[in-house]
This record gives sequence, structure tokens and C-alpha cells, in this order.
Amino acid sequence: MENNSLKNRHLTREEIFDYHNQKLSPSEMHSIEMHLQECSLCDEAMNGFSKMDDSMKTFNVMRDLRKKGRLKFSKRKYNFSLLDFNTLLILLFIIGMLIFLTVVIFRLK
Amino acid sequence: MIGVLFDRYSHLVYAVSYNYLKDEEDCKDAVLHIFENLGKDLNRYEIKNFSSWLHVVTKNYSLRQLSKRKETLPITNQSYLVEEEESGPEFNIHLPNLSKAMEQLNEEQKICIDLFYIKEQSYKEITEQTGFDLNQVKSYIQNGKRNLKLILLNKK
Repeated sequence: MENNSLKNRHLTREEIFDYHNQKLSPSEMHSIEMHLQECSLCDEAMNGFSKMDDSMKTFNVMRDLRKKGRLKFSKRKYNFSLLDFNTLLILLFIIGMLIFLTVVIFRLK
Repeated sequence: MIGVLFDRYSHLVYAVSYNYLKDEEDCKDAVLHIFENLGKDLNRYEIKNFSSWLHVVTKNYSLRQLSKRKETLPITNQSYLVEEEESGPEFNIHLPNLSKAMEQLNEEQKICIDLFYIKEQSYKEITEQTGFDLNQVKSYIQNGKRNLKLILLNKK
């Protein structure tokens, strides 16, 4: 268990599962409890976890949810806004003008 | 960005919502709903402490879902919704003051605070040593810590 950095982060799914099933050493349990004393989010999450009947099933549900979330929220979506469209039009107009002016200058020569 | 936050917090949101909803599918819906709206919310509000804000959002969403289910007593207004807690003033612990303050705690709180914070024992070890049950240990530590803070702040 990476208990050295528990001051700067929240409990992982594995830590919650291991704590709940008493798979940790007394000093690791103590580190987690020190974090629970300071972090209401993890404390209430630990309470919620302990209310679930089957901790292994819950662990797997959380893992599957994470996978689903990764697919759903990690996709890079291109937001084609009106601003982008206007910028594109202006750029096309400038390029068109440059080509037009080049052709006119060459013809005059 | 939402993907990173989902990785870090989805299991916590799921477990917090279980305290209220007690249903696997409802908790999954809660997680997805909260994270779907996260982008908008992050732009809309000035959030100082993300995890405590997310905790409040999760509790409020779950309470709203509960009232929709009508499992609880009818709620006529939104006053049940919780608000983000303001963090109290910070203070540095001065050890001589701390030992004097410890003397002012009741016996149970003093024992549990000593075993937990000074002797670094786990809740389980404290229950075995003192005969208190787990909830009592948690409560003595929580209340003892709060009382110590009040005593030390009043001494300033």
C-alpha cells in the first residue's frame, strides 16, 4: 500500500477493499484511519462500502464503472464552435485574396 | 480532464451515494450523472476545494434521488440539502499546550486520542485494548479531536 502519500491524495479502490477486509498491517490500517479522520469524502465512502453485502462484487462493479467512464469521458471530442467557423472563413478569405493579388500582379507584369 | 477526475473519484462517489441510495444501479447512475455535469459545473462555480465540493454534490444528488423515490418523509423545500463546510481556522499545535489540553478531555477521549495519535494504534487495536466498540472509538477520537481544537484555540 502506498501509504506514504495519503496526505496528498484519496483512498484507492484497492485500499478501501483491503481495509474493509482487514488485509492490511496495523500500521497500514492506522495510516488509512488517520486519512479518514481528516477526509470526509473517503470516510463516508468507507461507510458506504461497509454497507454493501458483497465487497468483492462491489470492487468489480467499481472497476467496471471506471472502465466505462474511461471510454465515455476520456474521448477527445472536437467542439466545432461558431468562433472556429468564423476564423476558418477569415483565413480562407485572406488566402483567396493573396492568390488573387498574386495572379493580378503577374498579369500586369 | 473529466476522464482523469473520473479515474480518481468515481469509486468514492459510488460508495458515498450507496449510503443514501442503497442500490447498485442507482449508484452507477449517480456517478455517471455527476460526472456528465462536471464540465459545466466546473465552469460555472468557483471551486476552492474540489473533493469537499464533490462530496457535497454527491450527497445532494443522492438526497434528491431519495426524495424522488419517496422513500423518505415528504420534504417540502430544499432545506435538507447540505452545504459545503467551511474549513476552520488553522492553528499550530504547541506541545506543552497540547498535553495540558489533553488533561481537560474526559477519560475515554483522552485514552483514545493518546492511543490513536500518539501511540499510532489502529481502531482495531484500540478496541482490543480498551474494550470499547468500534463506533465508540471513532466517536471518542472525533469528539476528542474537536474538543482539543476548541481548547487550544481558546488558549490563544
